[in-house]
Amino acid sequence: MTPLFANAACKRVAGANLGWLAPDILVLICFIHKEPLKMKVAYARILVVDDDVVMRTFVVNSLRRLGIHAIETAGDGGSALRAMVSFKPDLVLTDIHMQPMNGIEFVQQLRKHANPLVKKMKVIFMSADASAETLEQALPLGTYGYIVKPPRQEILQAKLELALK
Amino acid sequence: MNSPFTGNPVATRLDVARGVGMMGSEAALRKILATVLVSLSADVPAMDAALQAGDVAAANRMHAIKGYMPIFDSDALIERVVAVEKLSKTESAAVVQVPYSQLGPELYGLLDEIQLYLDSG
Repeated sequence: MTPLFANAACKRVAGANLGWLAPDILVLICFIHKEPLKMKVAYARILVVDDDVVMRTFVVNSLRRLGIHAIETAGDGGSALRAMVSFKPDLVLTDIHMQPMNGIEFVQQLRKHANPLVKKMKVIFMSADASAETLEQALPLGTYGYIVKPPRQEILQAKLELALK
Repeated sequence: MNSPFTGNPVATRLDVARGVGMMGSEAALRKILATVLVSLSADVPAMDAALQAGDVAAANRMHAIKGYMPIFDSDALIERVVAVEKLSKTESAAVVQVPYSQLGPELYGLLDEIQLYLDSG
């Protein structure tokens, strides 16, 4: 499947319909035509942390629609901590309400991690619960904000571009 | 739109057009609905049993269900799920069971609609 971002970007930069080209060639053309931010998003390694399999499926599908293919998933904070070392993500998208370790506790553990890259990991929270109390807990943890679930495609793209800039 | 507590059944629970829009394709919608069928088929009887046993905390699967409902469900069903999930955070199982007695059959109805849709493909 041709990544959506590649089609849109290449139509802008080349002013022509290049949809017949292979996705990799489209990505290369975007890079040549100075679309580095979209390139950065497409080649980012993303760890998706959510205890609900339906939501994980949805977020992974949304990331693939943005042209991102280096994706790992985890069902709770503990599994996600192990994936930090094995998968080495560029950014983490994490749910807040999870058990046994919730998203807030997971990010608190990241911020105390011995590995400086893990300690400074870019994080975006996702939750269906956008209450003030949740925001108060989540925002001081040095993250790139908060997405209400289920994230809409354009919101997810904008948040990723901001975090990976 | 129906109020969560009127007792009127929801006319249509599965919104295929919304689902295709959110997922990007019908194939992707079918894939996630197959996952929902397995997950929700376990969650609904578990929530029934938990509420009947007076265990409102065990009904917290409603939170996850609320999270994914806007991907493919009708507004009327989403409204009911949101209302019951909100109650389950603060009220006893006995209180939650009143609106849940109307929502539960709707969730079973949703499972039937998903199965029909998947069978039609």
